[in-house]
Amino acid sequence: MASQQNSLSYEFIKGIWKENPNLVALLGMCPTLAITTSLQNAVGMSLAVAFCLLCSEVFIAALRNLIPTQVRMAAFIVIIAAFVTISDLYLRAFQPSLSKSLGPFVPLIVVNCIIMGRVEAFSSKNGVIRSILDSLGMSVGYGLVLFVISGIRELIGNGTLMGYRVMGSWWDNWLVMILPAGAFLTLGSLLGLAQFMQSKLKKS
Amino acid sequence: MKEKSYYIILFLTFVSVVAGGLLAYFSAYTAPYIAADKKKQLEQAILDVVPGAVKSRTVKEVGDFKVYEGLDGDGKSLGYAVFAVGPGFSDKISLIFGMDAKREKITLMRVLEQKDTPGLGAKVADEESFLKFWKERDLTKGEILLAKPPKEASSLKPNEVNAISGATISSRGVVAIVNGAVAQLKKEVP
Repeated sequence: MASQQNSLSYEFIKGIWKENPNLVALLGMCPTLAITTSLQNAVGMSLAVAFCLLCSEVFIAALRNLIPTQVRMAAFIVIIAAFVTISDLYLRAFQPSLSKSLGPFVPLIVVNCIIMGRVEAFSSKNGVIRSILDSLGMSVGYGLVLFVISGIRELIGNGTLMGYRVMGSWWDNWLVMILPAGAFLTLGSLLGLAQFMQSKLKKS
Repeated sequence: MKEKSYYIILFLTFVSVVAGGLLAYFSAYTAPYIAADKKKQLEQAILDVVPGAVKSRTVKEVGDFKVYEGLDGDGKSLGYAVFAVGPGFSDKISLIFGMDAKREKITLMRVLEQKDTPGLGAKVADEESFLKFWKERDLTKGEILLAKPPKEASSLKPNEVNAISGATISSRGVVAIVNGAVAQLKKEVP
């Protein structure tokens, strides 16, 4: 059972920097690359992922002693898929414009490794309270990274933030930043920066 | 007992049934909202693309191709709204455009649904980048064409529109859908 006896606050904090799902664990790269073309998308996507992660982790942590080890993956995926479909239907019914701009990436949260990874690595071994804190921390960490990447891409590639024009008319949009290549450039630079900072922190 | 196969089978069945039930309930709960939203958007789009119209009437529906008539307060026809679906870059694009009563020009065009690249192809639904070129396009001189090279909006020929730079496929897709719909309209509603 709970092998590490970390403090409860650590379970929350670790997702933001030390075990950040994007920058450190390199999980969930596909949606990170694909939907970070505008801040609005990033907000919607992080909320959808946070909802699915929270519900799945709580559910699985509660059931962890009942789930047979041999078929745990199958059970996890069914539970995750149920919550993902619920959030997709909810968005389509009550937030149609957001749902349109996120396109297929909401249903694709099912195969988002962040959720599968946290469920397998954490909530199948830890209690409900810890799982809630873990999922919240991971969601914040994920959301922050999405926010930074999409902010950079939207600003440089489109001259806007949240759809509002912030760059003056002198600004020429760098189209490449909106294209997939821009996602790789931004994510790569960010990963490099994060690694650099972590190594500095370790030394000091 | 956790390792016994009957337990595994029972457990998986139980989880799937619960998940399935939950989804069936939620899907039934949201379906009317989703359908109502779609219908409202279509209604609104019909009235948008036929200037002055306050209500609409269905003229013809053939699969994905639908023709509506925009009416003024007295029920007089002000023009047509044509709904059509066709291939874009990543997925189907569905759009609606208005025509005057004589069907000699396109008054306005709106893209209702598209899944093309955000920031690029997705701009087919954007007024400033694309839709504004579709105002008052002339249909008497044949099909709508993409201007080569793109021009200032004021110097476009009456049957030309500008493509979106970086999203030629999406732009061509829209032009093809509109031209196809105009041709089909001639056939279906002579």
